[in-house]
Amino acid sequence: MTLVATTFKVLANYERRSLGMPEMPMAIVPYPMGGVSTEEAVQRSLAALNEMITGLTVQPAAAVTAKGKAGSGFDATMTLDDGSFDAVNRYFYEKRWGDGLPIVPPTQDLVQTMLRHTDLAPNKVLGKMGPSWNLTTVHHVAVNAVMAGCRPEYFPVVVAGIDAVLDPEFNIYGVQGTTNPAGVMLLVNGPIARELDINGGTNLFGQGWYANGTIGRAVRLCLMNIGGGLPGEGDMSTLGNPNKWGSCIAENEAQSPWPPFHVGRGFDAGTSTVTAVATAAPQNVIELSADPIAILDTLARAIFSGGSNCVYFDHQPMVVLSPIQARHVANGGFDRAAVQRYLWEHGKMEFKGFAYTSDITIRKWKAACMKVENGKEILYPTRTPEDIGVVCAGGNNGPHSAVLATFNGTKLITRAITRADGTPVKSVKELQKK
Amino acid sequence: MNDLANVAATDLGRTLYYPIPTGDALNLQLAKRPASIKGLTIGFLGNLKPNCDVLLHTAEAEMMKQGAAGTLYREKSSCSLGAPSEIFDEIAAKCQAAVVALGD
Repeated sequence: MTLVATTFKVLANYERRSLGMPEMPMAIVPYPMGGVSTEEAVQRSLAALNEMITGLTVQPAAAVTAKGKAGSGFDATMTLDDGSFDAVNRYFYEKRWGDGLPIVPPTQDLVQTMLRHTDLAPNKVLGKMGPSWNLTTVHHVAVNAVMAGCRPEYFPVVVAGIDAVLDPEFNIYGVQGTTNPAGVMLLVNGPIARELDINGGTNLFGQGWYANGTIGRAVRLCLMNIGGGLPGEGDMSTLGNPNKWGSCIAENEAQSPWPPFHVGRGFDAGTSTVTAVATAAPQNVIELSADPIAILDTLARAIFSGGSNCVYFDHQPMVVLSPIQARHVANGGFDRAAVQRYLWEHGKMEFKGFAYTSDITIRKWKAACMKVENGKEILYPTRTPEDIGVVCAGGNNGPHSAVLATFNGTKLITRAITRADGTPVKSVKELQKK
Repeated sequence: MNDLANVAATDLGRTLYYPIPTGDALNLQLAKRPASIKGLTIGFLGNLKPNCDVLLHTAEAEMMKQGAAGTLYREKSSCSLGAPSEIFDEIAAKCQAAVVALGD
């Protein structure tokens, strides 16, 4: 049986339905449990004790549920009375099959066109996506890519991104259900980023590029429609953040002083890759100095800014340096590994001054990043320097960089864009069927 | 209707694919419940959220007072990750019932 605080009853309800056990007993304690005294927590446990014991010892009546939903087969269809843009959008919105923006109706023609841009079979299962634990088929990814407005040639990027998201080390189950604002961003590297005009320059986190907007949105729709990340049910984010509408960027490889990000992760420069990043909104970091040490020190301090995910979480954050700042740093003799090492060593802080609940919680959550040095407790940003992702991206026009403070227990996951047999492709055209 | 309304009312196709998978992904079965906790070993799985350990340790002590033969307390390695299968296997092997903490 499950013990849950009042606010999370909706998530627990969603999960027990998803697991096929809607009758699983729950015992409820008042929310919040954080910040209350030990004595109060003891009293709350005692108050829920009978409910716990009943949950363990009384067989609940089997819930009456309709197994399976309307339609049949992985590629089930529906037929509506009215196929107009307005009517379809009203219907999908009522069903919560969308993100709140108008969707492109997933007609059979459009979805089949999308599927002609991959050599994967439509019924290929990429994995199970929490918290619904639904099977994620290539077909359903295509349906949601159509709804997002993706051009068909974008589809290989979306598929690789979803494949990355489904890696257990990405922890999509945690990312979806958390109260944290983290969303999913894709970073695209290699020739396909240029082929598809995925913006890695000016305003790359913002508006203006069709590929960035629709690829990111396709991932978000998959998270909602396949994975069950519905706000208030499978998605408990307190605040959310604007990148949860969808976020996709490219690295500015042309203006970077370093080899591309994916080359640092063992891929060939001619291979195109997608890296999934479970991040809160980018934290902009201004440093007007051209001194490489000043730039790196400011970034190091930003990583541990008050209340950042980086303070609490054992994770792999990403630092995005604009081309100008990256060149200043590179001119100071820093390659990517040296940047990672500097940020790690100078980003550490003495662990003191936290309020009681945060103090004891960080000790548990970030224990792997804590060391004792010269009799002082030192908190490092990550377990190792290599855990800090360093990317050069953005316009060649300002003293701005950014910290992407990722969610707890997540890693940066990179996937090559390949044929079904795993061979990397140099162009999405190689995957198109006649 | 204006032009935009005309476009919005155009029939684009009435047969559409479902954007959600149409079958249940999992259909697990609830374990058969024992008549009481007397003589049982009860498992507790904490999730590292603040005060979760207090909640569960209090329940452990109370269940021992009410006749449980023993308890087994385990915590996830991270509050944000699912528990590893080794923990589930251990609780399944050693316990006859278990309480799992979820959420904040």
